[in-house]
Amino acid sequence: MTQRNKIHNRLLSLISLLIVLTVPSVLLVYTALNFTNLEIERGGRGYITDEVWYVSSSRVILKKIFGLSVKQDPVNYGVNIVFQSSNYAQLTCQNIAPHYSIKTRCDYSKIPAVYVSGYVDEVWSFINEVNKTYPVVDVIPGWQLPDSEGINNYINWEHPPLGKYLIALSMLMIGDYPFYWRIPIISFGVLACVLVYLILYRLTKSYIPSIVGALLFTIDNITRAIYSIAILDGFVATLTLISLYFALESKYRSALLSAIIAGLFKASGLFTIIPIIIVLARRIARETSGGLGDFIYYTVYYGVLSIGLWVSLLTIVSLPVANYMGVSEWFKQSLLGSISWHLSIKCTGPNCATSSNPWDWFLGYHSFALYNYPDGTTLYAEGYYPLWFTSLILALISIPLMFIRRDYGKTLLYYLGIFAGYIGIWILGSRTQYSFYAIHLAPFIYINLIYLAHSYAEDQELGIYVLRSWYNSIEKIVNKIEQVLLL
Amino acid sequence: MKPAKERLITLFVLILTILGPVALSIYIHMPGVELPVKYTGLKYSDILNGLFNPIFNPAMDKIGERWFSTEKYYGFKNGSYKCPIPYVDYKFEYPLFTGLLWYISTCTAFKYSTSIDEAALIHYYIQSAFIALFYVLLVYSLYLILRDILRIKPLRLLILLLPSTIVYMVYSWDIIAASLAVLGTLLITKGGRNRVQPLLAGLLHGLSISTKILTAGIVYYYIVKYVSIRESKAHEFVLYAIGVVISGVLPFLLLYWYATQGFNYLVNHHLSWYCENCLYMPLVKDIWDSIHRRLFISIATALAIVFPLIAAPWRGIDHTVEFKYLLAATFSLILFNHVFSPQMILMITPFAIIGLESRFLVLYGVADVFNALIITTFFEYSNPWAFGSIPQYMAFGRNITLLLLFIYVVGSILKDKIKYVDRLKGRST
Repeated sequence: MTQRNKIHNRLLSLISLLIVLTVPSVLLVYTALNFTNLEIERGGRGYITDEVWYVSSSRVILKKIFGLSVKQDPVNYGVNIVFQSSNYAQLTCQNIAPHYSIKTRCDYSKIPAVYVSGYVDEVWSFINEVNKTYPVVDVIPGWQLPDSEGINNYINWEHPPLGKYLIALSMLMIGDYPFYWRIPIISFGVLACVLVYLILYRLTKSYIPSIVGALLFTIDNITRAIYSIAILDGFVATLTLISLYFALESKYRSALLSAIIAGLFKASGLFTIIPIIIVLARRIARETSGGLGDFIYYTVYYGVLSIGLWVSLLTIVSLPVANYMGVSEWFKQSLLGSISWHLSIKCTGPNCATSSNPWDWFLGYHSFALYNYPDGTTLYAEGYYPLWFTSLILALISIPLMFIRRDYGKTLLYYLGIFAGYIGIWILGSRTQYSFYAIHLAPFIYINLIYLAHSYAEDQELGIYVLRSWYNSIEKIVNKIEQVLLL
Repeated sequence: MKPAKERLITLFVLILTILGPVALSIYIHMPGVELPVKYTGLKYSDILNGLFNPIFNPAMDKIGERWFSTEKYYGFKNGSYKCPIPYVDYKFEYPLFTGLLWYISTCTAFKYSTSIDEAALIHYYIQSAFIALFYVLLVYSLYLILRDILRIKPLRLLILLLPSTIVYMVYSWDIIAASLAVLGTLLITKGGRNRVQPLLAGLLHGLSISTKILTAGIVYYYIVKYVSIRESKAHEFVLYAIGVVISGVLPFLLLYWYATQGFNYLVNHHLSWYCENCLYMPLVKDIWDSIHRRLFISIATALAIVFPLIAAPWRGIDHTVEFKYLLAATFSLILFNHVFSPQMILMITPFAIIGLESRFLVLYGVADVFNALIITTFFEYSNPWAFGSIPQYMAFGRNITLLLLFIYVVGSILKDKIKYVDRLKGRST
């Protein structure tokens, strides 16, 4: 490669990276800020969908487990005061609040609470005064709590704590404010777009399809929505991409570790282990020439090892939680309870959120409503489903390519392995899955779609290879059936 | 020179396939004519019952709901406004070329008659004339394709004598869309040195889209072909594309600009339509469920992307295979559509005639009969849309038969592609 070509290449690479960094940053920040402003303008509490659980538990973890306080502006300092009964909350609003120069929010109905904000000293002197008159049960500094019973003690035990630690960290370092909660997920979202670009570049060795894939992933409804709100599934998706990146570099230990870390954000991250184990077991079985027996042995071996590693790491990161809850309670609720929670039917009926089957995500069917806009429209956790469906069909058709294009094989294994994970828990009983889980698959939709479109367009014989492979396989099956019938 | 007997048979086939369906279709749908068999469905047509009466006949309930302006409606009602314009004055769900034909026939009818029944009859005659004209063009184009391109006997045209052609010809505008699509295909396929030919073919295909939209698959095929065979003459493609844009895209843009309300109605009408005799009905029986529409959009997108990637047409493609592609393209937008009204089969039939092997035409005939029975039995049941009613069993029979044919056609194309590559490899090695 000449010097000029090298410079040209570097320049292109820099421009591409700049594009895949800027576009998602702008889009995700814009969406997150838009949510924040909309919620504040309409007098809401600022939470979008399941943020009510994760953000609230992060705040509680920070205060009650780590004994730390969220960062707040002393001029606009907020505190949630929880009483024994809602009567006390009402009386506090009526009798004491008017004597202080503070703002109050007294419309809590499911939790006996009052939210106050103002100058820090004034707020604390108000709390001291209230405490003398009415029995205050809990005081939680920070942004206003969602209106939900027991939310002041909620630590979301059914999900591992790493995601909540990260949200708590942003509250501690930057502040407890809707946009600030979302900074970690926005960062993960931008990273995910960059990773989609890098993975596609590694697969195609071409800038244009890599940028197109990254941008398509970025502008997909589900990406913009889920990476703009502080829920756990986006973290899982990004860590899965990191894992794939390592797998493509043949760094399987790092890939496995990334998958296990994903599982420390949400257990569904563990689905990522499925493809890594298959790749690892297949590689070793080929090295030892042990065939199917070795493959099965190593699949089980790495499976047990991975789960063991996950449980160990989960125990380590959950030590503060276990210490707070009591070890046996933590074991019962966070470990055993979590498994049964994941495999259970959560909520059915007209008042429940719309749940879906994993295959519905590819048709945008039974999508989860994330947010109702003031103009009456609804934001659904729904990808560009015609492209999702096409990607899945192309992936299934292109299975034979796994055997001649190793890197694509790994990518496809990740895609189908993760999907198989969701189908697996559906079979085991998790019939109420929500469409925002699909963010885990979203990067793979576009990596697969763009890679295959690029490959088939570049090499027309590839399509023939795939067709012939299917034709031969079907022929073999038919011959076998014929043999069996003749016997 | 063909023997006289053969020429006589050809002539007989042409006369029979032209006159038979046209005469019978005009006869059975003619207002006021009683049929020997008492099936209301046979008398039904979109031309009169589906559109004319709900829009213009004051005896119909809720007539005002179809009009955008009550002033115009009352003007029309009291006779001072003779030529109401579709999309502008009232809601009209068909594309622009159909709208134009509709405007001509309704305006003429109301200019020459003040009686609604008489106007309906005039409108019916004019529409019948349009349809008959395009049908003649269709049959003749098919004949030329069979004779000059496929070099086979025109006996296949007898498929047009099947009941669906008769029941659904003077009924809606599908035959016009089919006729324009086939004529355009004939021009492209025959080729020639004339530079106007690709432009004319594009114009005809565009006009076909402006008649019924669902023939868009044909245009898509030619675009994919031009793009995938990179050596092809660019100017031909540009001329073809210009033709398509002029008659198939611009009319919609103009409509959007001139009558946004009417355009929005046209779009929303189709987007909000329920599963009408659709393929997915046995899986999800609620016809209003959005899954039907989602499946159509997803499958059509998948076919549009996957097919060109894996089995794009090739340079020097045989006409027989090309017609299979065109048949698959037509199938894709109609068979998998959440709205598969029975008259839509008329857009498939011509491509089945030129794209299917003879033995599979028999199977197509079965689908055609099932299809004709949909409307024939439709008004005999209280809930003919629901799965379990006879019309829906007929639709099910039709859909399954067509699905089998679609699978065969696709499989056959893929096989041809493999053969082509093998031949190419054999030559190069």
